[in-house]
Amino acid sequence: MLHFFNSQLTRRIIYDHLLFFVDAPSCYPPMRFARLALWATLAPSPASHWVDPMTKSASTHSAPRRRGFLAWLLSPFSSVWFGIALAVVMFVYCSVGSAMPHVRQLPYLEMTEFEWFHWWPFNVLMALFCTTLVVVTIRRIPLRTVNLGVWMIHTGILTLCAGSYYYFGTKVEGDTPVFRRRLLINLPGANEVASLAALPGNHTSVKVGAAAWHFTVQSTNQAWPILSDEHKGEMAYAVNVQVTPPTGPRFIRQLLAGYPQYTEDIIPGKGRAIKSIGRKLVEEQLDISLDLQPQEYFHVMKSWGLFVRRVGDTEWQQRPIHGLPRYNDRVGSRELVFTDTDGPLPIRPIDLPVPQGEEGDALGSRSVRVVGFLRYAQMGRRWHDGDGPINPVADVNIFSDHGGSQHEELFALDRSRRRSTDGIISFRWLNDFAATAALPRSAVSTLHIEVPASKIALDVPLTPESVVDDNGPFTPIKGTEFSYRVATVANDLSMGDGRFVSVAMVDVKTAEGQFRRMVADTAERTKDMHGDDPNPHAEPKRTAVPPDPRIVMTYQPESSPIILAAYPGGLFLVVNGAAGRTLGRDIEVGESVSLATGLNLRVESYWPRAVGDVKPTIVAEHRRQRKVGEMFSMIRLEVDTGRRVEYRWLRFNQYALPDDTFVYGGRFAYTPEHMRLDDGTEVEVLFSRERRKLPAPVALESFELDTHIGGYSGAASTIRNYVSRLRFRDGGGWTEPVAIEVNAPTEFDGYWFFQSMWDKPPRGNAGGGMNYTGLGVGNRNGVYIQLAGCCIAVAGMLFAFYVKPTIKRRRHDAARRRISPGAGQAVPEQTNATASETVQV
Amino acid sequence: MKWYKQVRPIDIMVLVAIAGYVGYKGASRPQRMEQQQQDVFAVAVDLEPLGQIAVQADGRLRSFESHARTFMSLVSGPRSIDGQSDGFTYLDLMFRPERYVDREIVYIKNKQVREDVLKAATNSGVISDDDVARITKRGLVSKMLLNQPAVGALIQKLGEDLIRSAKQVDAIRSAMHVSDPRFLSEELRLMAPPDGATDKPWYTMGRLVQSSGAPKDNIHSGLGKPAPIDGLDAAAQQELVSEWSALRRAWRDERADDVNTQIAGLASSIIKIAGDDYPSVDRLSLESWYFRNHSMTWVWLIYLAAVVPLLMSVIYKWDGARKVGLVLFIVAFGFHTSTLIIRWYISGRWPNSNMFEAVTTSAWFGGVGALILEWVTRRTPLRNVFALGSAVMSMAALMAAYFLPTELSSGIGNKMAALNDVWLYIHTNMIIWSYGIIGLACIPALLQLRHRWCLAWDERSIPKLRLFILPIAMVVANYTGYRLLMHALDDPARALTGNTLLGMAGAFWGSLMVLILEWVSASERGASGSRSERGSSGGASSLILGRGGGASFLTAERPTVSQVYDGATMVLVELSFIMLWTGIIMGAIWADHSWGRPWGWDPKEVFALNTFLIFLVLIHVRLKVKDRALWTSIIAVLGFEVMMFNWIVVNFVITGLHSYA
Repeated sequence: MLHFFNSQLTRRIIYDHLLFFVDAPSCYPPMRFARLALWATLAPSPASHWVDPMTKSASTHSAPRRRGFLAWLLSPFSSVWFGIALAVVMFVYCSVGSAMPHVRQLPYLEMTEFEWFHWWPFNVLMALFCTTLVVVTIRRIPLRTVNLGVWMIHTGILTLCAGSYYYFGTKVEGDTPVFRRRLLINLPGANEVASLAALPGNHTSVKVGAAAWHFTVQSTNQAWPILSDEHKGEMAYAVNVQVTPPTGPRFIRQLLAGYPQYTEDIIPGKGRAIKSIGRKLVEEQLDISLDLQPQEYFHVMKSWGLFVRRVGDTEWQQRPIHGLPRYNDRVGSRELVFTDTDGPLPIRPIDLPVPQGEEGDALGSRSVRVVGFLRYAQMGRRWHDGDGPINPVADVNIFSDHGGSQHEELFALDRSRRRSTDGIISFRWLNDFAATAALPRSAVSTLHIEVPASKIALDVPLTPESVVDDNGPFTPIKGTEFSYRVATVANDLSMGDGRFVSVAMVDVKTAEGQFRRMVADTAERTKDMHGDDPNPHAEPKRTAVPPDPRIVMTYQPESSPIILAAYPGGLFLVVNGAAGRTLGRDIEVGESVSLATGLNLRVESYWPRAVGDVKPTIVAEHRRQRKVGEMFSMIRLEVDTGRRVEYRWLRFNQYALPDDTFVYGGRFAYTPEHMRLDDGTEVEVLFSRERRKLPAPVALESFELDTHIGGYSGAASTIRNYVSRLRFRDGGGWTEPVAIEVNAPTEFDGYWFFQSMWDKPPRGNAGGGMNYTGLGVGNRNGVYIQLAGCCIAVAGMLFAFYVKPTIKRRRHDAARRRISPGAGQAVPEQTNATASETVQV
Repeated sequence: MKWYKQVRPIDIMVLVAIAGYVGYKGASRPQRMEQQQQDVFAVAVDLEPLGQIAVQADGRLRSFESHARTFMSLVSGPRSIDGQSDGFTYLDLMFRPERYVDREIVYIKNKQVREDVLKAATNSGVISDDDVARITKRGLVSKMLLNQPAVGALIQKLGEDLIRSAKQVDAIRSAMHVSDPRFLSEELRLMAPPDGATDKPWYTMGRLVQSSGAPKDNIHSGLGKPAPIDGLDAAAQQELVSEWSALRRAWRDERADDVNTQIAGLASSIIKIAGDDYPSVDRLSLESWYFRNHSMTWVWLIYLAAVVPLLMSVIYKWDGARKVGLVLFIVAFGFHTSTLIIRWYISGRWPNSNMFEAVTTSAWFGGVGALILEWVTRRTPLRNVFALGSAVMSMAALMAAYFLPTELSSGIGNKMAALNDVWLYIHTNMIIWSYGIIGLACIPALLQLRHRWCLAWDERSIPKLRLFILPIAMVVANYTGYRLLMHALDDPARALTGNTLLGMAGAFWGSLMVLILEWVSASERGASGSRSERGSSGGASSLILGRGGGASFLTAERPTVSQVYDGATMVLVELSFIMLWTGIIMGAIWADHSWGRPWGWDPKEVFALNTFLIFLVLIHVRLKVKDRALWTSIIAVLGFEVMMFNWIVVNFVITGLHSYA
């Protein structure tokens, strides 16, 4: 190679080619110098038989100079028209990419804006553009004072391009949520300190021996005014934890971030513990504290990743997914999905291997592939009639004449889903038509009491007035020795085994004393409970015995006002108001029945032996919410577990969260799927975005909302700013808090942190929310090169448009002054200026 | 030569086109006053005193007038309800909601949705043909009509289509919600906290009524009635409450005199109780006046008055018109400046944070540029051209604001959090200034094209029939190109149906072919004017060189018309070239610390770059073509079109990060 470079012929060729750049305007000094330097570099050999014709330092070279291949190749680049053509092509390319996103989103392009502008045609375009700039500038624009402007503009743009190449080539951009606090729960005798994210609704249990303590984060308050001591008037972040000890009553512990001295307990119904029991803490051995919740990772924008771990592990291992589409559905078979519309579904299979990423991945070297992608879908269940066991399912539509409608899917044999969520309609299965007569005739709960000895039977409607609590009065049953008091009612309590029970707790006073009867809706579950302890919290001490036969009670729980009953061969509809029945008739599928003026009901579908298929349902284009990004994307994963090939549809998760305690009421998705491998290992997989480690773990000290006058009203126009105070892990400890705000990011170890998302307080709860902040994270290598390029170009423009004519005018004036004594003399500057005007800006 | 002898058919064509367009638009505009004579009570009520009191809403303190206007525009868009003032309608909706159940108050902007609603209503037989004609024209429908079962079902269905109609349905639903008397009274926070802390939440009259007479102790607070208002004197509160109740009663009974007395009393009581921190009455009155006067967008009429003599002076060299034109232009610019200052004073910030402000301020910046350039070129043939350009552009901008109050809403709101940065002022002003200058450059460029047309007419270098076809083909190509583009961009409001699509495509390609063929044959004949017209003139360089008496067309004895227009265009193109580039860089600097990336290929950014590319092409094409002046003007107009595309289409159709400006 070295020999090749040193050979005379090679040097000659290189010289000829490089000469191309400097040969045209060889009349001015810098180019002469460049030429000499070139010659000196490439032709130093004393044995040389060739010399630069311009330097005329040797005369052996007499043949006409050949244009080399490179010169031939580069000649179009010295054309201004070529540059103009490139600018026009760039204009068209930019317009298409930006204004017509559907072009870059075509199935075989599948590009984001960023990808479109970093696709090879664009890179080629930019490379050609830069080459033209270099060639034209060197070949066609003499480097003289008057041309400094053009040189600067062109150099500036080239510098900008170089800076951009570096910037975009190394750009990393992502985001991450940083949660505000976690609870550390320390109980003497517990195995370890339990940790729980301080987000409303989160709960955990801690076992001490056989007994379990339950903890639930009841609420948080971002601006809790402190009323005590020297901190009076300050606002603190408060977390209220409901504690249920194994024995004794529940209480609420209030923790204030940054003020551990003000931790205190509140006893429901009684207020602050210090006022009712004389000490601040109900359970002094229970130590709950607030700690920063560090975030170690961020997720890269517009990327995909698969996360894997063994069930029970806390850390996810990631496998980046490259080449997954983003805009077009890719499924290999119509059978795999439901569609929202009847339109055609293009069948485009995909088979993308997802190789192992990080070490210690629970799936190891097993084959993991993505075999389907859906841009916007939701898991849906559709029913068809099978020939299996009875499983009545009905799709009922209640609609008003004004166009409002409410669809309910009801399951007669599933007690948790046989009533609509608002309780207005329920669906039952009856063994025969005759049983329709026994359907309740009122929507209100009733307690049926019979005293066989006195032949007394009465129905007590259980209205809020007749349920009187533990301390209410007893109602005597006339003509008997008994009196009763309905303490509470509870409907549809889960028995834990898939069965449900509804009960009324009734205290019964007899001549001998008093007992509590649990009146269930099924006779076999009704029991009496005897015990002397009047303390309502001491229920477990009571002993349950079969009910006293002298007084018989049955409980008819409240029923929905509308009851749809299925029996072999048909459907029966009952409408009960509080006052009683208004309708009881057979109903056909598809028939509209008027319930009241303007309100109708129609059974859209009914399957007596329903069998459900669960598949992703592709949401029709026009029903898709805009600006939700990939939130509703799904992939179909194929994993060879060793025993067999398993398939799972995985919903997209914005972040690979450690567990479901970060779901925060549905604000974040957390939908891992489980599978068992041949060696018995249980693994879970999660579909999210590529994850990277932050330069250092970051924690949120505080998060404030700065508002315009009148405070935050729920409208964005009332917000002035968001301020997150962050701490970064620094050695063993944390740095001092650094505030980041909108338009005011902070830098840590090469990465910039921006304010990008926030936890909006729920409507009507100004103290809520603000439990996490969303940070944008990114690097910005090369921005100063870009900036320098831009500034040079600006200076060049100013020079070319305004300084250059001034220089020319001065020369002109000077020349005129020189020639004014005598007429007819040449004006050299003027000539030069005119000659160069054709190629100048 | 008398000026009228210089009038060419192209001028008449343009005038006829403008007159035809204005006539057509005027004829299709709903007549406001024709429908019915105004309610006697509405005329008799004097809401002037309320114009001096403030309402706290959306994180701002604004005058009642401006508050009512903001809310009523959400209900009835740009239409007024039977000529009533917004303030009257607001209170009337609160006090007598029953009167509005069957009155046409809800504005449906989208014509397709309007048509669908009317179809549904007609099918169910609830409206007559007269109603259909009226509603189609005005766009206002009654809440009763919207609550018809068939219409309700249709709206529900349209609302489910998130791509095409959900936005329009949202607007209808919000109009229904806003016109609800409960909502209106909840939003009318008139009463400042008595302790003078105007930045704390203010109270509604309802709150005052509810808490009046509430016992001031902890035990009773929260029992049915809200807690009493701290620091508010019970007697003063009682007085306010009784004034409010009296106003309500008088209003319901239509006793206009009593209403006026109560309004005056209420306004003075509120101001009296509020204390020293209450917003200045002058500011509030000015705000009310400003909004009552269409945000002063009528200034376009003064600009129009300036445009006519300036055009005369530039095109026909009529010197008498010159002075009149300049004086009128300066007067118009003075008014324009005062609108900006008033708005600045009212909102407490420089007006450049929403579309209305961007458009009007950009035009104003254009005016500043024009005045400076007029001063610089006062002794050159370039004079008047800049004033003319600015007058035309400012007139167009203010006309847009005047005639499209829904699209360019002049309401004053708080800036969103992301805009609270010094770079808002640096970047946005630089960009809109460059846009203003690009707009200015378009005018001499168009004049150049007209001049070339006239040359061809006079020299008969192009057959006269073809000279008529050319501009028509140009307009057809531009308009249909725009419609086709909208179709390609899938803009539902302007998308084309199958048949029109075919027609549009045919018209576009046909007119494009005409233009190309004409251009080829013209260039063969060298028809773009006599050789002397092709002379290059340069921009600022000609001004600078000309000053020293150097080689510039300005020093020539009689510079050609082409040279003058070309010189003016180039002065402006050079300026906009630098300003646009600098503005883009400033935007990148801001984006770098605001979004974490200087450049994100956002549509707004890309089209700013595209505009720059066009000017880059312009400057380099000048190096290569023979007839620089002609090509400069063509590309300058093209650059203006791309800039407008960026401003209008990218903002309203292609939404990006820059959705707010």
